[in-house]
Amino acid sequence: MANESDRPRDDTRDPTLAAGWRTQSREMPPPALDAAILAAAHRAVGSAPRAATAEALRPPRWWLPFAAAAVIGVVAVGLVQLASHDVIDVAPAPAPMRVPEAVNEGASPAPDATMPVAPMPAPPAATPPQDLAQSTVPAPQRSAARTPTLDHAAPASTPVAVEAERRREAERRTAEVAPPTTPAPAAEPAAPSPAAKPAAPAAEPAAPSPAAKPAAPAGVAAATREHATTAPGAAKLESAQAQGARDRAAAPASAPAAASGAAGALTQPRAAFSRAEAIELARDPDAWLARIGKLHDAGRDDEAIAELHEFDALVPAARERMPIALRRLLERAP
Amino acid sequence: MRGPTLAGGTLDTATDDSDEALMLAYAAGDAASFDRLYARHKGGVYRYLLRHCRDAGIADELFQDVWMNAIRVRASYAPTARFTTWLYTLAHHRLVDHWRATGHARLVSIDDDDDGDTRAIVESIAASPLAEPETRAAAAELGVRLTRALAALPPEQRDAFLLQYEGGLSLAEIARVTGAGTETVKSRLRYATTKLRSALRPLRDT
Repeated sequence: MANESDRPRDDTRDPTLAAGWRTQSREMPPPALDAAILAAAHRAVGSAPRAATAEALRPPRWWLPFAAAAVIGVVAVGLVQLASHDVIDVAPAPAPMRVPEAVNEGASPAPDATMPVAPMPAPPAATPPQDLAQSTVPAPQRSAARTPTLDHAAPASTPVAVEAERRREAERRTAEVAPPTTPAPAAEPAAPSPAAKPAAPAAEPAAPSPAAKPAAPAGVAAATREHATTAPGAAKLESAQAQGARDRAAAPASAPAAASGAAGALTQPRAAFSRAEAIELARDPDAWLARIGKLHDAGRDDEAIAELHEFDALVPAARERMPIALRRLLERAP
Repeated sequence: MRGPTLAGGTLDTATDDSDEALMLAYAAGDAASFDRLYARHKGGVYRYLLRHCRDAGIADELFQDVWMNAIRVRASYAPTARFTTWLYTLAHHRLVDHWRATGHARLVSIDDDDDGDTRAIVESIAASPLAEPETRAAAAELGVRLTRALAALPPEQRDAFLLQYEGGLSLAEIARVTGAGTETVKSRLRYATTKLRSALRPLRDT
């Protein structure tokens, strides 16, 4: 390329012309232009000289292995910790394995309460009412209350508890009203009701069979009681409903029938008139007035006055409905 | 300035004083190498551009662009050819761009140099008023006549002449810079020399 043979021959390179050209062609760039170009050249290499570039590239080279080692170490430690957690969790494997079975069974009968149930951490906010139960029930029951089986039973647990309470109250009232030697057939508490049995087989506190015992009867009942104590307004309503339920258990017939059939029962001494019974009787004010009239006629003015007070409190325009005799009896009452 | 030689396809840049070694040193960050390179070639490149443009302002602008381009692409410089070939290639391309921008697009491979126009230009140079006897004695007269005669040359011949006389390029290097064949370059140089001799002949005769 740049060999001497490539040089222009003498016929193309005239020495005279070359000499004359060299003599006349002496123009040079302006000094300012020289300075500008040289400054630009120095700036170009000054901004990114090779040595500086090598220095700039050196730090990533030395810290990259350290960074990679640190990342690998962190990952390894994490894996080791995860593995150790797995070993610890696998050790009590049989107990937790039963809980999902209970969950899967759903509507199937709950396992026996005497069966040891391994404590299983439940989501804290999943069952708020059972958190209330946890604060009142003992530890074993609390663990049972934490079982997921209760999640399915929880919505129906309150009626179950009310039913159980109602049965206990009915039993107590039966013991008070009926003679101990001749218990009323309708107030038989020990006889489990076939209709109520499937609804709340586990919540039957007086059930004689341990196998029919619920998974967490105490927990549910305690939760219900706790709920009743924590909500006074609701407790009154629930108490009234429970009283009515007790009365219904004691007299399963309908309210009018009870009112009409109460004439026969009026001959027997009875317990104090309850608000629940009054609510039930208030469904038919006329029948209730007839019942009160019969009490008054039978000379049982105390009971008649008590029911009149309830009648006055529960029935709208009660005074206008009352016969004059009963109204005067009520007005005379203290 | 000692020219490098080809060794296995690449130039032997063992000498630290060669243009190629200086350019490599500058690409490596040695700013002083560029100073030396610039001092060696600034005049030739400037006159190459000035003779073509015939305007100092435009020549300054093009000259600065050529060197800035050399600075910018220094990292990609490879000594596969002489540095002057590379440098004048940059200058030639910048000149072509300038001509295209200003409407002078005549640098497209005109090999028919021996046309009537060229002959007329040469004859007009000989018949120039500057060839008067009273001005031949003046030393400056030579430069003026040369400049005028060079300006009257076709751009391709002028380009080849300037690359040879200002850049010191060989026929092959001129062919490489201009993208023409070696014989074409030789023809252009022959015609250019002949015309310029004709311009100088009155001075020689006196």
